[in-house]
Amino acid sequence: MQNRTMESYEEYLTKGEWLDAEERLELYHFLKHKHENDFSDLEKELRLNGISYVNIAKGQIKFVLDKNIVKNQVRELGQPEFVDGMRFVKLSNMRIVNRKRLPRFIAQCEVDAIWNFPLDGKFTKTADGFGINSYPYYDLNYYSNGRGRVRGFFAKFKYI
Amino acid sequence: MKVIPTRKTNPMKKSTKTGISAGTVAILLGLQSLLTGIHASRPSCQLAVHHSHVSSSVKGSSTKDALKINATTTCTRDQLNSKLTMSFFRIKGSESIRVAFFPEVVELADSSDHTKAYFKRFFKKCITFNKAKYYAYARGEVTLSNGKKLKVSGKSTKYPDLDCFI
Repeated sequence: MQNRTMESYEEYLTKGEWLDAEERLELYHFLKHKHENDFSDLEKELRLNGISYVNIAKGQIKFVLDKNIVKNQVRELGQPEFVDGMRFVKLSNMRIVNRKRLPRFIAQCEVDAIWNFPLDGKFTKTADGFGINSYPYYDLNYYSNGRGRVRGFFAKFKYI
Repeated sequence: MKVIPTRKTNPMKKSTKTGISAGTVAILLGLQSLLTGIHASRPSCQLAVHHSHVSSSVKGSSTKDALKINATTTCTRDQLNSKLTMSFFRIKGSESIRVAFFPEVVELADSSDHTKAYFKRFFKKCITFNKAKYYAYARGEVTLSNGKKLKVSGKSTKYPDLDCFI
């Protein structure tokens, strides 16, 4: 599984809107695992400057810390304006909590960026603008499509 | 002595045909224009679910064809974003079978026309290239720039024959 993800990662960066639901979820798990080791750099930068930038595929993510809430903004590289990335996470003062929250939040924002702003490649881009799944993968509402976390908990087993 | 009735002048002139006074007509006209004004100022949104088509993800290749159904929300006011959940149905005789379901996707309003949001991410790869007909049903809500939320729903109106089986 891990090898397969590593092999397909480069291709996924070029697929953009053609990433299907399973591929995006696979990408999310891969990126979350990656950020479990390096999230503290972003956390430090946010605490120090209030802003941190991450570039992935053809997108740039701007993380903004305001009153312990981290929000994301995104733009395609080369574009002047950032648009609202529509995601946010509350930072805790407990490191152990952030260790869980931040990697999955960064990974989700990166999947959104790749889905919208892929690298140039063989895949045809037909969608402009910015679109995301309403519910992030770390919210059980994703699995129940907003019908509650309890239903989502049971529905998640279908995905495993 | 014969009393000859004198005609009194009524300050509220009445129509000889309907018997409605000019004042009542004025009030009714005022009410009508008020209601029309309210109706005109009430924002509304429509969802157009386009017909199914086969789209190729890989330039110059037919090996990665997919069934794709797009949708557009259009409002009379500027919107922030639209959220949609979509299902694809295959038509088999008089029956429809749900063949794909997509969890809620949110799209920001189009940067050049804020009254519209375009959904172009709903697709499923073709398994074989046998002929079939599909339509999509979508529902969701639009968030206007003033924060008001409006429900929308709709389905495709044309079901073309496609060389794609999912």
